[in-house]
Amino acid sequence: MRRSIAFFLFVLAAVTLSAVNVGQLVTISVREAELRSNPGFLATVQTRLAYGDSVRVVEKRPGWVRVQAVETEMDGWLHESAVAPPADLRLSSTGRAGDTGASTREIALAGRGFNQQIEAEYQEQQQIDFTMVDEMEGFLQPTDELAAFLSAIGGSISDGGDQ
Amino acid sequence: MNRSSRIVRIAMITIVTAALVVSCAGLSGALGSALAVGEGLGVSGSGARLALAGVRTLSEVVDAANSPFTPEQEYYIGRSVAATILKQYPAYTTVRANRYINSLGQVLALASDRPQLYHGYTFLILDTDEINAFATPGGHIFISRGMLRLTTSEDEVAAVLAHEIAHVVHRHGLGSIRSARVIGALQQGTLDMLDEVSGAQLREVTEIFGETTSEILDTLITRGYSGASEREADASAVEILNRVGYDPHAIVRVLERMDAAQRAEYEGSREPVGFSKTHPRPQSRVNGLNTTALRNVEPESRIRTDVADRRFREALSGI
Repeated sequence: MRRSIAFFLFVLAAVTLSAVNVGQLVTISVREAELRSNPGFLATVQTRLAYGDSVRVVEKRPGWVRVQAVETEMDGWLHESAVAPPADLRLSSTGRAGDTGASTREIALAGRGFNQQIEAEYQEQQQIDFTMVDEMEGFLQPTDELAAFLSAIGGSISDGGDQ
Repeated sequence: MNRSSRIVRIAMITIVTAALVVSCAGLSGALGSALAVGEGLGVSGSGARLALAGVRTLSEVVDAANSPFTPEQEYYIGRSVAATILKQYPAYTTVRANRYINSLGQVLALASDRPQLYHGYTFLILDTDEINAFATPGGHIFISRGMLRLTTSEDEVAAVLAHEIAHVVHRHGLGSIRSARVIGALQQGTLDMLDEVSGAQLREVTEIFGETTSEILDTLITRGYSGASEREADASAVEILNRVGYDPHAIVRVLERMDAAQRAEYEGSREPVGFSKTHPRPQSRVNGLNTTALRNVEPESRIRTDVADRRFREALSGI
């Protein structure tokens, strides 16, 4: 009965197209990435990285990558969907970031385009209220609560091998 | 990446997409978005679309692995789409029901091919009798009280949420953009900027942001996704339900109830509202599922349905 989510990671292996390779420099593509001790959503969080941080892929498992932060050299496991090749984060079309030796963070955040500044401008023009959207985003549940929700019906989320 | 190499990259993707349309036009499931382009343009696969200037909808360059928008841009587009939806539909604010929907939806999202978004997937019930559900490119997913009233078990709610999650995974909303101005801005790098902007540039980027938001709202509320996108979302929903252990046939039960509701609506000769306006006939989706995604799927649920259905009733009793 507890086979469900423990199994889906293997299923993911079959269907997830590998976008990144070992040795490649990639960029964190989520606001806050949790680097875990094992390739599973319930594994212990070892460190956190921010959107745009550069990391190098050091190991791959189906659906997961172990990455090392370029700046701090801390490492840990992330789901593949939390990283993107740097090109996907749209470097400046002028190539300016590369030419001026800007920090890896500046390079990665280049081309952010639609951001908080643009939202604020749009909100003022259109008289749109984001209060309820902020409340909605507050409904993000911690992974251990999701695990409890699932275990109540006989499912489980993999810890990737943690004891 | 400089502008010329990005243009080459987008052109290459367009060429590959066009080649797929030419060679595999019969494979509607696997090539849903590519076919949508072909259908939308009435193009049978000539070289005319190979030029970048020929990109008519973003579905030509948007798929699950490749988006011309950054994750952060997708998130901010999603927020403004969500805020505008909430201008039209009030939120149903009962915390217990919304917490339940979020736990269920977020478990399903973990089982999708794209569990990690810039902010993550969050869910909200809309206080309307209309039968509908929406997803923004940023992972904000709405389900109406009318839709929830059609469901009779946790796996049926899961089926609706999994379908919406699949639209986010496949970036169907962004793919539906056909504004020449938005596509042009992406091609020309107008949205690439290192610092805060001001004056004319701020106005221009804000206008393009507004146009992107309107295009997606138009798809969600008026125009609907392409039939191919709906079939792709249904097939992915079956996979998600199966991975978690819910009965994937729940999606058929919900669709059949939606079909009955739609027939009643037509008999009353009212104007189509909600999903009726934007979705293919539910019965046609059931037929599609039965001949593809559900063909080899075991019907029985693998989760404890007694516990699931008890908490379903407790959380949504007042709906």
